[in-house]
Amino acid sequence: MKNLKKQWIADIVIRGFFFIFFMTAWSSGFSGVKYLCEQIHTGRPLEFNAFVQVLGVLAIFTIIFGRYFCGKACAFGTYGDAVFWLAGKIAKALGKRHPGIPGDPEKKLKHIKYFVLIAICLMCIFGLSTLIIEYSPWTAFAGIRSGKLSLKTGGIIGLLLLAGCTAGMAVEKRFFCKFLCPFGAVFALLPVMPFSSVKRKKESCIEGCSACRNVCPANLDIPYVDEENEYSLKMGDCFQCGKCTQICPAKNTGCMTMPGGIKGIIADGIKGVILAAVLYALTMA
Amino acid sequence: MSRKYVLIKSLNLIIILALLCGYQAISVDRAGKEEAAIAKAKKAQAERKAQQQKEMGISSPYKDGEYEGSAEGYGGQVVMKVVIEGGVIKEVRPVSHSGEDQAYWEMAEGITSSIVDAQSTDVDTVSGATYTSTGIINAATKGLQQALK
Repeated sequence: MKNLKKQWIADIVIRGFFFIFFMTAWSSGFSGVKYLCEQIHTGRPLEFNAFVQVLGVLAIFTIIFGRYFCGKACAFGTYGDAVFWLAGKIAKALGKRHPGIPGDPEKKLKHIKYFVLIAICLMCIFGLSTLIIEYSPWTAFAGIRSGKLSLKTGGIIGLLLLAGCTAGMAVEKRFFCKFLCPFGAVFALLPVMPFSSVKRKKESCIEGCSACRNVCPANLDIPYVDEENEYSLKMGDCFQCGKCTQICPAKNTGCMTMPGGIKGIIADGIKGVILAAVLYALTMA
Repeated sequence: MSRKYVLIKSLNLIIILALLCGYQAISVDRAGKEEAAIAKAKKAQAERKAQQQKEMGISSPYKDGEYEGSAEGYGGQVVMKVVIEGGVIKEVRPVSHSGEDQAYWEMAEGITSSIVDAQSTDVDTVSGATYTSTGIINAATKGLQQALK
């Protein structure tokens, strides 16, 4: 598909940009969540500090545009997709099939991230937040990039967890994001506006196709327009990557803020500019 | 309708925000009363200390003046300026912190007032911004060392 190729190139530009210039967005935003819980632990008032501002901005952006942050701007997501792509190339070169987790792991495993979120929030509320920073794979990840890797026990465990996540991401698309990411859990709980929720028209859907489901990193069944659909709750896991909108042979899949085709690629760019401008104003100006 | 889940999640979000607002109202009220008491106690303590020093003929270990110190933060050197006036730490000001991420800097720079209040750099780091906090503390410490008589 020519469109998929164009989107792939646009993706590299957008995601590379956020990876290089806004790598700390994930950690400062999630630190906002931890900060709120820590303040509750000490009984002190909540301040609308820098971390909470990033959290607020990302939450509002997600409510309006869906989990674009996860799909295009999160450094860990980009890292995961790069690892998966590399693993695919290596498997191909070795003449082997790209290994994966058998069956439909999404159905059960994706709920783990909510437990991770609850566990972290409870640990902060009960005053154990220092443990999290020490053992977090994100801390190890950021540490490698900045050259500030701690080799105390916590740092080693964080590194091991990071290695585990990397292995997971090599065999399953967006392993960390779908199954473990506590920030993703926060985003999945937000009410994304219907105009940013991907849907398809039942009448134009080609019988037996399922291209959208196959290309989706989260293996989602795109809900049909205007139908009472039990799957629409699962769209909380959609991270607005746009692959379904580009691959549909009937151009039947999409939403107002992610229309597919060239318009969709431009929309991705515009959303990226808005997100970058807002994050820049908060964290660099 | 898929709108049903938008409504459920919206309600969920509103409940969480309402709970946070309720918590905030209670804790602000409590903190207001606490702060008045703490400020009073600090002032009394500072006055007692000054009186003690006068009685024992102890003078401050610091020379008056402005002293700069630099230390490693998260992404580079953090340079802080310590101002000694009348023998006490009057102010701790940032000079440069180009390697620090802005959000983390804003979180950590409140430490400067803790240092002045405590009249020492033996203060807690800010949670979530440990490396930046440590950079500020160490830079201020280096500045203080130069201020010693």
